[in-house]
Amino acid sequence: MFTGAVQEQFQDLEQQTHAAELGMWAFMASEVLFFSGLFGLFAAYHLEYGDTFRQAATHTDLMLGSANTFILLTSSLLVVLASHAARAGWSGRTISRLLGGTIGLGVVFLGLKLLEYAHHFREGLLPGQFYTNAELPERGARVFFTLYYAMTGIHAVHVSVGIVLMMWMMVLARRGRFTPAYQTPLELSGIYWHFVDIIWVFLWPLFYLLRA
Amino acid sequence: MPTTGAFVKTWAWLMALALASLLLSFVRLGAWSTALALAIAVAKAVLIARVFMHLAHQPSISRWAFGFGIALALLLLIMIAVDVITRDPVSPRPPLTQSATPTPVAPGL
Repeated sequence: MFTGAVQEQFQDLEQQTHAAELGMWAFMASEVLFFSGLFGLFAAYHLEYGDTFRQAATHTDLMLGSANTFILLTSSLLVVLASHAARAGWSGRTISRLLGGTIGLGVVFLGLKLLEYAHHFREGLLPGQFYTNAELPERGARVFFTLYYAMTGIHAVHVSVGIVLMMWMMVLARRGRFTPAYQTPLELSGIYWHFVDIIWVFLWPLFYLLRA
Repeated sequence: MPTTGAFVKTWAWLMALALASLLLSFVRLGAWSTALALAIAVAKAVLIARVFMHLAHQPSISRWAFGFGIALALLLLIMIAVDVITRDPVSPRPPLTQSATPTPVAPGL
């Protein structure tokens, strides 16, 4: 598995790589649709509770949320450099160091997210019926935080999956599996990581920047 | 394929756009703030997809597969917006009437 050998149903490695990439892009399209349902829900409720949503956004942590944006964007650079390093024939050690940086930044992202959740829990900013914040008692604020936990939570699950994928790629890189001719698993894992980054690029303004 | 320098340059653009978005959130622009924040997010997403995800260098079949997903997502968002904007305001739920509560059984029966 993942040795770069051409499977019998393909004519050559190039055709096999294109098939794998097409599969990944089709999966990404399904992920776009999955998240767009949630973004549509957010938009629909924003039209109904716009003012309350903007007030509720002042209760999320702008500093931690913004730090996480810069962290994820930088982690994406390290992933693309790792994949570039594999294509350029750099050593497996260099590739695995770059991926190590990505994993580190991913873990920091999750740590900051958990810290933020802990702050919200203390303030009673919980989803649905568990919401107890007295400062912002409106129904819209309850809806805002329910969406906040659903969307950032599902995103955090995606980041966790990405971290596991990157660890796997790190092992493959250390074993010298990536060559200038073959680095498909690394490339596909990178596409996934960048996609998770793009989702955060849209979550950040909605939950942190559009405030009263 | 882009070079190392091109990737670093794209990252610098992404950081600059994120910083611009953050600074703009402190300026009171009314309805424009949403439009601007989303426009910057779209610009960042396009940069990530084209350069980092190598979408610009993918075979056209992969670009079509992903583009079709985006088109369907846009259709979904437009239909949701049309539905919500043209919907009659939701009337508040009527209070529970007496008949909705169970009738107490008279003692002794």
